Amino acid sequence: MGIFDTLGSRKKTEIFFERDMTPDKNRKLYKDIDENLKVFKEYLADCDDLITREFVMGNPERPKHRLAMINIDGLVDKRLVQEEVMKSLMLYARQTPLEHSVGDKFFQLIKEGLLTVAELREADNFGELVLAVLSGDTALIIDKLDRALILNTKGWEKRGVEEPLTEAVIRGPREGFTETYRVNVALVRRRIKDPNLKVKTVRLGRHTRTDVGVLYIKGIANPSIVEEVLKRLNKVDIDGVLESGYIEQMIEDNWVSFFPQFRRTERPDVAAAALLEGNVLIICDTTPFVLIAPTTLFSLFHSSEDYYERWYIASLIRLLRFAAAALAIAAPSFYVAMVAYHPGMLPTDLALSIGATREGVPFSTTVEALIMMLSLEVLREAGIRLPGPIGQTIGIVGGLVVGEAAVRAGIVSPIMVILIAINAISSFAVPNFSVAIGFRLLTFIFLILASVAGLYGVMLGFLGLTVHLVTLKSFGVPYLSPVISFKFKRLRDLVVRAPLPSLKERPEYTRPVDKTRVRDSKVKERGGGEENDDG
Amino acid sequence: MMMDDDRISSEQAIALIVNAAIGVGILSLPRVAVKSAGPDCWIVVLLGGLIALLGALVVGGIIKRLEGRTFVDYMSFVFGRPVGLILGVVYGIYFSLIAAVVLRDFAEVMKNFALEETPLEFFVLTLLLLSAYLIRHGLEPMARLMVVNFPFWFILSVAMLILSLYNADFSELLPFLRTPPEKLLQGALSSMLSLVGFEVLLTSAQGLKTVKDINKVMVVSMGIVTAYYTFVVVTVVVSMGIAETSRTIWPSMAVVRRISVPGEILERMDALAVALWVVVVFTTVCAYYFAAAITFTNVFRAREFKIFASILFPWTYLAAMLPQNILEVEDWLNFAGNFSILTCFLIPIIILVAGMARNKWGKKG
Repeated sequence: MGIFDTLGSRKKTEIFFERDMTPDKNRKLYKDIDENLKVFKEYLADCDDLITREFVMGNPERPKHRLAMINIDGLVDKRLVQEEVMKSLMLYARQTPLEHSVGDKFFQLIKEGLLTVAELREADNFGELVLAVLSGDTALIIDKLDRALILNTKGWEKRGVEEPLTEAVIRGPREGFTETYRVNVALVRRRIKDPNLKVKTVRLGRHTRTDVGVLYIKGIANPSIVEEVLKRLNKVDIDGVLESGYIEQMIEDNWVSFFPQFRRTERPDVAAAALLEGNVLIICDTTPFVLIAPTTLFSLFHSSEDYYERWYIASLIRLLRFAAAALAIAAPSFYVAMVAYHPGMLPTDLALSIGATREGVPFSTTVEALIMMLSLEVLREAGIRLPGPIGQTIGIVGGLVVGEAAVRAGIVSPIMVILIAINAISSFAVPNFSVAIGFRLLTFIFLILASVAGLYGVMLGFLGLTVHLVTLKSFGVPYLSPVISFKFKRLRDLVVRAPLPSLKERPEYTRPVDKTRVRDSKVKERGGGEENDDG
Repeated sequence: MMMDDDRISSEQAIALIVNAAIGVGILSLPRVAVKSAGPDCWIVVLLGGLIALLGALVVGGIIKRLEGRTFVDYMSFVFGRPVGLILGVVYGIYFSLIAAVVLRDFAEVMKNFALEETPLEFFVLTLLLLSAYLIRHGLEPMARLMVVNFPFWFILSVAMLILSLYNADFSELLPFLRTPPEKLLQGALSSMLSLVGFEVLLTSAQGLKTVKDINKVMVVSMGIVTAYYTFVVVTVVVSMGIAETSRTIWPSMAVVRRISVPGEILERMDALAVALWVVVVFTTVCAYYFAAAITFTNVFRAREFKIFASILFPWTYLAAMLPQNILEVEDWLNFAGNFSILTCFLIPIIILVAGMARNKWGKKG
């Protein structure tokens, strides 16, 4: 019947947070319960997971009040429906004299006096009811009334709050986001008990109707960024949103770039920290990955632990990450450029030893590097898909056996094996996987450039990279900020992390409304004598 | 959104000027300075910096008077439309010529020091393509690139030069001040091409956020440029000697070639230095290429800047490939240097004086 096919007649409405369902919204409920049930069954025809339960209130022998309950099997909490809805209406209601209450009075009685469900709302049209039922709510239709009740009985099988797999930390909370939207919002809310934490929900996907929440702290987040996020989200018209990756790719600034223009996290503490820095969160139902916008290159190198550990450890670790990133991008290309084009740069001893290990290797250094890097990518990909124990086997067979055999067979030189291994390890020292994988791609490009034009090729790659990065923006924020102007104060929380008391301002790139992070008076109270030389 | 207005801050303007000024001069300036003044070469650079600063302040004065108009429009306002347009075209040609000459010089160095077998066209084309891609995005991203790259090459090149000081002989700088003043002045003028760069700001002046800081911008950037070049010249001369410096085409490269890194990680640094120098040249080319494109856009009062950015591409490429050999490149460099005296000093002074007169006269009438 194509009832949900509302594409053709979409128009702009005031409430822009909800995909328009005008035809269904305009279809009001009838007064007759049988009529209503008939329409309902038309909507959900051939849906075998639909449960409709008709029952009466009061004396069953002289039924005066007929009701019907509609929900989807598996999406609702059965116990809740039985105990709080059915029992209340069928058993406990008998103690209430029903005979005199009809019409609105009866409706009021059910709504306010009998149902012991925590959350309910009224609806008078089919569009809203059907959508609610499909979202896991229970619809209660009452005879002789053109209004119905929507009871929140959501309760499907879900994963509990577990430790996130991709962002493990040594110090820090172990909670991770789950696949349930409300749980995720609550996890953030639990950390920021501030009425200014705003949650705006959009439904995206013509078929999936996925809840997508935009979270920000009013008074910190820049309104223009919040607006921009909402504007772009509302432009999204796609059949389904199954993961936040869909949203990311639909609303990002530049889809050509290797660099992610969102930070994504599985950790509520990271999300909360981002909110406090003036970012906007995009939480998508059915996925534990939450998007953070806007993003800069440097924020992708930061990990939540940087703020939990003491500052010099955090700073050193950060420096290490940047060094690792440089290695990850440039190590193989640099080596190839030196060996193939500028052997004079190498000290004589080193050049001789490289020459000795390469003796008998039939390929050029470029091909050698490509063989190693490609096989490493394959190993990585194979290792991800396989279950733990087999994955380890792949690691041992691939890494140790094949690597060793390749060297013995004289296909690659041992130095190359070492180099590619270091390169691969470095690329995954970056905390964000999407950046790490982008770096892997860049490594290949740099390698090819180096094999074409030596060090000049590497430099061309570097220049191309910087040119691309300076032109890239994430929600109007330059991707390289704050390194776009000489303001040394802004560098305190970038490549190093200055002591927390000295980070008096929030990062500048989000252009927060309220800039203060640490207030002076508090610092002095805590400080004592030792912090006097801070400055 | 807020940051999309394509305007640059004072710091970005400083970075733009410094990056535009420091370019091929790193390699040739020591020779030029030593040839004209011997041991007093560093005085030549300082004097040149002082003269350049005067020119920069004149340019700053013009920028203050633009009041939202483009440079070409201002010249039309001062001299009348035809003359203004002709001058605009002169500036456009000048900027693109500098970009081309710098590119060519760069290609020659690359061929000489890094990749002997590679054709010159490869170097010119790749770098020009990259700059064309960048400048299409406008002034602000370009200024951002200058800021991002500045610390990178500045720190590394200074570090490299310091490493080369291990066998420095400071007596090369003696006797002190024996050169006749007119020779010093002549040397200062011939080293001018390396020191100018402030003129690119003329054409990008509409993009300045704070015009009133322009004098500070000029002083700081010329200070950085002069200090850097003086350091380069002194380092090269003390570690290589007067005689050898004046006989080498690119003395700085020769110096870097002799460096040996403590700890023996790298034996010869010249390839690395050339690679680093690519960044320096790239920023210069971008600055001038952009200036040329924006000047022509203003001359034709075109709305679409990107078209001129593309039209200039083949012209710059051809101009870069025009010289037959390295000697002709040198001639072109000298020609461009003399041209820059015209465009950086003479014309701006005339414009400023005429503009002042025009204002006074205009108020009376």
